[in-house]
Amino acid sequence: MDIASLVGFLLGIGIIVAAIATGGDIMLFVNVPSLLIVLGGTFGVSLMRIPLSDFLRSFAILGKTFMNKSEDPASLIEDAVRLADVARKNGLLALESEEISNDFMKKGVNLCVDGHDPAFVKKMLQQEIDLMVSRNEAGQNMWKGVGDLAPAMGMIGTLVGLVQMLANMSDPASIGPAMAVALLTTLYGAIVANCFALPMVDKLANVLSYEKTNRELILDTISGIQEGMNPKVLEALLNSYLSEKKRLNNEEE
Amino acid sequence: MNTEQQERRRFFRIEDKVNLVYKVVDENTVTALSHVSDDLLSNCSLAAALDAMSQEARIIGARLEKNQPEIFEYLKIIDTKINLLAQALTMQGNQFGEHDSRDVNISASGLAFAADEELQPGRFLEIRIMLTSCMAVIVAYGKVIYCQRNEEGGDYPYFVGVDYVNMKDDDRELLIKHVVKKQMQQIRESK
Repeated sequence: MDIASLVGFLLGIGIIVAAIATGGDIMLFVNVPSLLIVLGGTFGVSLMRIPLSDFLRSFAILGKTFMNKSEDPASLIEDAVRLADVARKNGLLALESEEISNDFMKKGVNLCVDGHDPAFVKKMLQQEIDLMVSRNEAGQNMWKGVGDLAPAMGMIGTLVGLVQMLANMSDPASIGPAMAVALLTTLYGAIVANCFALPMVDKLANVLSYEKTNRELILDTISGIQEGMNPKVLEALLNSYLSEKKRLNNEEE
Repeated sequence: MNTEQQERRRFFRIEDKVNLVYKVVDENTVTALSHVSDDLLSNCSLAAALDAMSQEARIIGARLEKNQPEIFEYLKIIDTKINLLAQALTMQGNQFGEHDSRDVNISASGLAFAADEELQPGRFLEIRIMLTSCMAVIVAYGKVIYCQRNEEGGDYPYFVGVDYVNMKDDDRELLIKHVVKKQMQQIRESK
């Protein structure tokens, strides 16, 4: 689980709520029709922008920002070196009984064990990486759209509130509260966009880049195994995926 | 399994058919290291040397592929051309006859092959093997570990087991790659 996403979200919302609470009655900031305009309107219009399947999938992709289980590339390299050594010393079929925690690596190794041509294996795995990227980008676009639409829907809500307020100018005492409620939709829209949707888009981009790099590392691993590459050479090749700091740490060890 | 047998089984073995010639040599020839480190440009070590260079180049190549894919593709074509030239040179200079193809059990640590003469365990051989997967010729020295009657008969009445002696790392790498490639091919064919 990516604790940073959860802590960041709770902290952001918590500080706003705390600031509101110190200034008076928190219930002043709760207005169900405004919430409905912002949330319902944003998701409704989002449905117009993208296919239903992408809309539904975007919620699952959003889960990645909270339940991100990306592996450390250093441990993937360790596995790669071990598997390359096994393939050279005991043959490709011996890989079948090796323990592999990463599903993508397991899939690649199974293709090796099945004796598929290296070019075919590379093409298959590369295609899977490309599809993963495109699925995740569709999810990112959906949440980026939410980030754009929520403030706009907030503005629409405010305008609706203002029209209703101006239509009822006979009671001057009600103008203040009505104006406050009208402005709430702008606030909700700004909160949805800036405290949730847009940060999540950046986080998703980060998670995607990390996952893509890991998968490319695995792709090189599988190609190396199929070539019978020396484990030390393979390790040197894969180390280019590590940050300079991590590389230096590994060399010191 | 005793240590000697374990040592022999350090690398995976496959059944294969390769071009192979050998001659009996004395122990001094085998242990003299100057004989092992062949001239880089001799036919026999050319493929191994090129392969070793390719391994080094692969590390830089992976970075280049990401940053400048067009240049990488161009260099790959040049690399293929060099390999083809090396193979042509190897083919020209090899000493194999039409009937040197024989069944072997090959690994990166030893070799068992069908032979037409009895070779006593302990004797030393100079072996030339042409690997069909990369058209490379490997010259290796080996010590006969066993020699037994070939039950299957055929052209060769004996089956000789040899352990490589003082094998160059580049040649061993080439053999490992050949074995992995060949195994992949055998798995595909068995389906």
